[in-house]
Amino acid sequence: MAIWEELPNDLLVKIANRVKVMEDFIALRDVCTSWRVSITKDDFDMFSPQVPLLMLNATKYHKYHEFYSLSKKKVVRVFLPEARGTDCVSSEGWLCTMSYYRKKMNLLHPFSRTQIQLPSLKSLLVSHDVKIVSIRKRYPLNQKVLLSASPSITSDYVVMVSRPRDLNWSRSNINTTNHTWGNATSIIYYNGQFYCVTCYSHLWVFDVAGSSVPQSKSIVKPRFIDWVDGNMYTNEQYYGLVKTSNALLIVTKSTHL
Amino acid sequence: MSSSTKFLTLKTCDDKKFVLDEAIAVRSQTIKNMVEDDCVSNVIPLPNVDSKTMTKVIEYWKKHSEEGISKDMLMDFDKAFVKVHHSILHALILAANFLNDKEMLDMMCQEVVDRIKGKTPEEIRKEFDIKNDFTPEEEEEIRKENAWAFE
Repeated sequence: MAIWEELPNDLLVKIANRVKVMEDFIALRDVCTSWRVSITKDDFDMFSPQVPLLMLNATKYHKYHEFYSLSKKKVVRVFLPEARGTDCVSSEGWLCTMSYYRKKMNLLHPFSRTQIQLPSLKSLLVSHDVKIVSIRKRYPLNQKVLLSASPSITSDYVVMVSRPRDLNWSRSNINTTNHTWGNATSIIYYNGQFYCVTCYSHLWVFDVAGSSVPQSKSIVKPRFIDWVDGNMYTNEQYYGLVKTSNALLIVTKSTHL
Repeated sequence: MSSSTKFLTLKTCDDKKFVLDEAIAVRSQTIKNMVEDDCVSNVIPLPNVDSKTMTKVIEYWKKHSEEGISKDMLMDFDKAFVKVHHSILHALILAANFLNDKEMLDMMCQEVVDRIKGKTPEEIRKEFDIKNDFTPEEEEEIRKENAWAFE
């Protein structure tokens, strides 16, 4: 007797709301037609913390993207045709897909496959493409794109691109200060502001919080805060930023053997 | 039992009658509203609940109304209470929903979620006797999209 297929809509949603693990939620929607119709992707509790999937990089030209699942302890393939032919970086559970060929940049949710179009990459790439690549090679800059909040939860978020030169974007103008900028090795969003540490161990902050959220074409001037004392710049030193529940830490990694 | 104890008679869809202390019966928001609105004559009909299910519901209500019962004892009781065949679980969810007992409904829904945890869609179908009614084309589409979650 088909009793569960006919469970009223509101009760099915009530059950779905309680599912905290993404994989379980997906399974629930794949059980039968009536469950799939009743339970929508919006019924998933976006605030429930997930065991992260680690994105692997080698699948640029395939419709599938490979991730390492920490909970399954193996590589899984996620069907993501939207990310085909793009470079992907992740932030807040979203992917930023950058197509150098089409000069396009989108935010893409890997499971709902929702896309949010970002302003054009055109002028950003004309003169700085090579630079981005070379910086990445030499300094392990983990994120070129950073979100202040997940677009799944709020429409009020700031997208930070590590070397933006596009006029449609709020520019982070670093040439107006007297300090030597140096290349950014790590950028992080913490307590309403973006922080950046450079290869010279200089810590900068970009004030984008609250009402001063930049309009397009406005310039966000970074403020110099501090540097790691007693450390001269060397090729063997790497500086990174790490967030804990109540502090922002600069970590130093020495590659000197 | 104090002299002021009032009793209500509940009648299930299969015409069985249950006499119950009003203080316990009003765990159901539906019954409580009826009592407060003075709509209660002699017998409260429960057209959506059968006697087998109502017996379980009353067992739950009585245990949760016991004076001086410890939290641990209640937890053990709840744990054992939800370990029922899926058809009874289904009936209890509908009953708790109709009777508007939020605490009980939440507990039963959580039990469904616990039974789903870590399972593939096929395993969930087995658990709840659900037929796979997707067409081969739909099935293929779903598999392509979601295989990563279960493979």
